[in-house]
Formats: sequence, C-alpha cells, structure tokens
Amino acid sequence: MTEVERQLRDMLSRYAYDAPAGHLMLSRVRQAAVRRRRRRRAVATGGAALALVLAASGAATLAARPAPIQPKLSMGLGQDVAGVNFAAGSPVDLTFPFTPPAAPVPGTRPMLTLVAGRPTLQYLPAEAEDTQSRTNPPVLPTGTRLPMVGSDAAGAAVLPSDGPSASPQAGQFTTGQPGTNSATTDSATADPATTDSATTDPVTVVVSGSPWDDGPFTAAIKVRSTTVHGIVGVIGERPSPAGPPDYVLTWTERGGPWVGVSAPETISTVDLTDFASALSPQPVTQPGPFDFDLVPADFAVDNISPSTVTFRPPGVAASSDFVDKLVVSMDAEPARMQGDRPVKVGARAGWLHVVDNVVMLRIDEGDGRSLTVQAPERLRIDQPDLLRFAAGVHITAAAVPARG
Amino acid sequence: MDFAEFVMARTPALLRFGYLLTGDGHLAEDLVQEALVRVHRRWSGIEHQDGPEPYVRKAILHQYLSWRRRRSSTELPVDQLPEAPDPAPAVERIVDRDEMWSLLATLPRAQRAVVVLRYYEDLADADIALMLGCTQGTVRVHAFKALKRLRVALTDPAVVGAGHDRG
Repeated sequence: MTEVERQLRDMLSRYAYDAPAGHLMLSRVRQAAVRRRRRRRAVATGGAALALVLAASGAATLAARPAPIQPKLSMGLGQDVAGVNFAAGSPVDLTFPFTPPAAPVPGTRPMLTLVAGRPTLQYLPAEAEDTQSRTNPPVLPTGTRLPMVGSDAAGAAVLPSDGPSASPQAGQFTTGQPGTNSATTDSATADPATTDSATTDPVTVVVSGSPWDDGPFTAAIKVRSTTVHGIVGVIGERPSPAGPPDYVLTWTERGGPWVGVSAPETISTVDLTDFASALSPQPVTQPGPFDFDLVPADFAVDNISPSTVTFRPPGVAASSDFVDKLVVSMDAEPARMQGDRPVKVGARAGWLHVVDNVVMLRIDEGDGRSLTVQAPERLRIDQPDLLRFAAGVHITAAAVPARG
Repeated sequence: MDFAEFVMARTPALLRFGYLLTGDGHLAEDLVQEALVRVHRRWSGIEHQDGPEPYVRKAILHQYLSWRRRRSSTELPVDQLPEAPDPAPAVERIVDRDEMWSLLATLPRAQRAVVVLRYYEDLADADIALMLGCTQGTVRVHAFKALKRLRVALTDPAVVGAGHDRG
C-alpha cells in the first residue's frame, strides 16, 4: 500500500464519523413511502378523471384557485425521489393562547411571532419595532382577532400598548415610579431611564407544546419558586449576552402548554410574576404577512414574523433559521438583482438566481416592495411549481418589510 | 429482522457510506432514504436472500452514480492529466487530511465510488466489480486513475484548483 493509499484510508475512516446520525431516518422513510403510494394512486385516479372530463366536455375549466400541484422531479436525486406536493392554501395565521397584558416596560410594544414552531410574544421598543406613527391605540377586548403589529398605517387596532397617560395595570412593571408597587424593591435601579430596552433582552413569553428540553430556558438556573395562575412555577437565572442576566419564569398550565417568560434581571421577580399572572388565558389570533393560494402539503409552518413565513419539510427539526426550508419574505427593496434571470410569476415580474444550492425567486410588487421565495434545491421543487406557488403568495396588510 | 429493526440498526453505517460518497450530510440522508424506500416495498423478498444490507448498499451506490449533475460547472476540466511527476515527493509530503477530503470531491463519481469501496469498505476488486456491474479491470482502471489524480493534485494543487463536485 502506498503512502497516498494509507492517507486515503485514514482520511475516509476519520470523515466517516462526520456523517449525520439519521435519528429520523425511519420516520422519513415511512413518510416517503406513504407519499409515494399516494402519488401513484393520484396519478392513476387523476388520469382516469382527466379522461372522463375530456370525454364529457371536451374543454378545460379554469378553477378559481390553481389546481394542487402534483409532485414533479427536478434537481437532486434520481427519478423516483418524491418532490413537494402543493395543496390549496389556508390562512397562515398566528394564534397565541394568552391575551397579552399591557406593555411591562414603558416604550415597548407587544409583537407576536412564531419561532421554531412556538408562539412567542415579545415586547420590543416601539421605535425599533415600528417606525409608523400611532396615536392612542385602542385596547382590544380579549379573544379579538388582532392585526399584525406594525401593519396599521391607518391607525387600525393594535395590541394594547402603554402610553403616556396609561395608568399602571396588572402585570405592568412600575419600576422607578414613586408611590407604586412597594414590592419592587430589587428593581429600584430599573427606572425607564436606566432600563434601556435597546441594550437589554426584551420581555418575552414563549409557549411550547413540550417541556423545555431543548428550548430557550434550559440554561436557566433555578433560584426560587413562585405561583402563576395558581400553579407553582420556577424562576431561574440565565446569562444574557445583551447585558445583565435574564430572569426566566416557567410553569405548566393545567392540561395546557409549557409557558416561559423571560425578562432582564433589572426587573424584579415580583413584577415578573405579576406580569405572568396577567397573561389572560384567552387566545388571540393575528393574521400572517401573506396569504397563500397554495401551500406545501405535509410541511409545517414553523416561523411567522411580520415579514417572513417559513415552511418546514417533514424530517427537518423546528428551528428559527431558514436552512432546508421553503421561505417567503418581503423586503423594501427592488426585486431585480444583477445577473438574475427574468421570469413571469403570474402577472408579476420575477427574477431567478441560484446561490449555494438555494433557488431565490424575487418578485417585484410594483410599489417598491419585493417578495422573495427561497427554496433549497434539495426540496426538489421544479421551476414551474415554484412559479405557481409564488404566484399564489399575496402580501397582506399585516406585512412589514424585513430590515437588514 | 424486520424493516424497522434493520433501519434503526444499520442507518448510521449506511449514512457513513453515503456521506463518504457524496461528501454532504443532507445528500447522504437523501441517498439512504431513497434506497430504504425502495427496499421497503420489497422487504419480504429481500430479507430471505443474502440479507438486505448488500442490496441497500448497492441501491445507494447506483443512486449515487445515476444522479443528475447539479454542479457540473464546477467539475474540473482536466481531460488530460499532466505528466505525472515522480510520486516520491507526494509520498514524502505531509498531507493534511482536510486537503485529501477536498481532493476526493474532485474525482469523477465512479472513481470516488471505487475509492470508498476499496479503502473504506475494504472490498476486493471482484466484489467492487459486482457492486458496480463492471469488470475487475474497469475497477482497477478507476482506482489507478483516482490515485494518480490525487497524487498529481497533492504535488501541484493548481492542477485541481478549488472546484468541488459535491453533488
């Protein structure tokens, strides 16, 4: 054996263990087998139905919505690999199981998102979250269908927010305001002037369908117990790269989800508990940034923000990133980039390019905004299907262009 | 062994094989998944033969060799290898394993498959020929060309450049 052969053998042995573990392989195989059986049946029945229609009428009829797209093959593996099925779309809305209390920190505004499949409520600095002006936003009754924060240029209803004249409400932190909650002793330094919401983590509520085994609060160290909604919860501490450590409060609703609230440690644990207790267990629904005529069947929606929706294919773990997902986003910038290939997306103009094995389709909305549909090649969505999917994406009034 | 037991037990090894062929974890998963889906349909017939693993590995191999080229533009336009220098300098050279891994990606697929089967799976040329459906002479030619190409590249990296064919 030569030296090159020896090195080759050593290298292969070493790199072999960089291979993925394949924990989900069995479920992936079973899902693929089911999809393939469905596809074979669909092809068989579709062919028969088509023959029947043609024989009866001799003419095609246009449906209001595009017909579901049958799986096709394009890039990637060989001829028998299943592609992506598209089905008629339904609203991609976000439901949060609690009505958000008033903003706990002055100058912040609540925003609902879906992050890695988990409904998430964050109180962000108003100016950072939304540059549009609002005056006297009305407080909505619970259970109301809410618009996406940042969407109401005309001053439509928004999530309840604090205002200069707002009086303290349950769950609203009163730090730094004399004559208020006497229990906020350990937050005496956290008045609005020193509680710089731009340099600390925002108050965040995350709802999960499963315990925090890999969730955002696992790094917390338990420090004490407390009670929320009559249920014992745990307050812990978690280091924060943004500034002081965060307090995190977690509990499990009776028969319901796991809930976690995090806030900068400049906010007292008493106020944190009060805020958590003020989460009224009445769900609110917020529209997503896009309507979809078609959605990828069997995919899960795992992220919704005011500018982005991601669809996660089977076998891909929920996460907050875009890796291996079908992504739709809106930007406040021109669609056309140099070197892109022009295409028609319904009645709109679009441009295609591929970078790092990801197909990027930008669509000009004609008003200075653009849509981007991002599809990894490994999803094997061929170009006609991608264009049909993109043609069925409509920006709603709730959408806010992505920044940066 | 039923299908589920086989998948649970052998997936890591099959993925290692797929990963060495493709150099990409996602593609390796796709390869193995596709092979297992095919095997799943015929499991009752396969498990009573020589065992399903050779069949699955063969399916993985053929799937890999029949892929449509996705990144053919990055293939190396080296039809004629330059005159091979004396291999001694390459042999004496201390080669970084990462460099060798990168060079592996520049090999044509059949050559890479032979390299993996011969130097990772430790298969004899006769067995490799059976898996690939070719003669032993063809296997030896693939191996010879692959090793020659690697030696040349290790001696003169400019021959290969930075292009990788991972797909």
